Amino acid sequence: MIEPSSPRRLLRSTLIALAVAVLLLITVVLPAEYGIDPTGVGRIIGLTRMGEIKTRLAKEAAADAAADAVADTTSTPPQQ
Amino acid sequence: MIHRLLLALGAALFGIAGFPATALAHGVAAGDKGYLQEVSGVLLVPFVYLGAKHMVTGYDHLLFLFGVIFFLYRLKDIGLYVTLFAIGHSTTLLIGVLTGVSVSAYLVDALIGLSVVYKALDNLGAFKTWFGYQPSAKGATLIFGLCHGFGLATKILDFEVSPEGLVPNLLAFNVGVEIGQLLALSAILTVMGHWRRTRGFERHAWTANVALMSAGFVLMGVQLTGFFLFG
Repeated sequence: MIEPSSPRRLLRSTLIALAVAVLLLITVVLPAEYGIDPTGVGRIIGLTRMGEIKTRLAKEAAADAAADAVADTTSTPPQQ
Repeated sequence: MIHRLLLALGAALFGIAGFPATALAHGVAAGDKGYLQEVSGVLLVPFVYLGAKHMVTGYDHLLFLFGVIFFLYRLKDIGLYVTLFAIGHSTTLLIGVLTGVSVSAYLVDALIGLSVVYKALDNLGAFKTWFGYQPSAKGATLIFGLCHGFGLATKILDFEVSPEGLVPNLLAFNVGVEIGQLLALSAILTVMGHWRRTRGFERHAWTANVALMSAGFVLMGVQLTGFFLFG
């Protein structure tokens, strides 16, 4: 562990870490992963489209899996 | 029969819920899942491989390990902490898969992000500075090891592996996780060893842990958002 420093410096560093994380999340990560783009930056740098496509594909995959699960439980085995 | 059906249904639901999160956080190719659905029975070497691959490519686990060994210098201490972490995640991996009890992959991964934030703060001496109290680093490593194990369990459930040969396969996966951990650790320690000998390591150490904390916050943010979007 680093020798305890002033609470003030520690708080400042923690807030910087949080601010950097929030900035990265709203401009890069959330647009690219989920198509959520509160600032519009994601659209400009072309990441929002990626998130939109990924979200759509995930929903389609989920719908397919759900349909398969229903088909598995309702279908009867073929008769001889 | 009903139990197995429920288990399969639970795993399937989990696969749906966890799809974007696991694809994001762990990068295990769809090919592995496809392979595991094609085969059944005891497959020791493939499961060792998958466990090792998961650990080496799972940057959330690596970030936490990086934080844990940041200020550990003696090999004995490193061994002790890594063992604590291993005991933690092996326990929940086995329990999680065998009981089929699983929480949302998003929440587990958010918790793993929190473990990274916690360890970074711990390295910065935050608990002593703010609260005048130093929580046990060993206890934290064990407890967060349990959280990481739940993450591994959700991964296995997401694979929807055949119940045939499940226990030996799980043990093999666990062995693989340890191998992957040792591989990753030796790489991290090699770099850290050189870094520690440089001048200004103290100053860099502060910055590095602030950056580590930031990465933990990003992991938490993306997983919590996923949880609120997709459950």
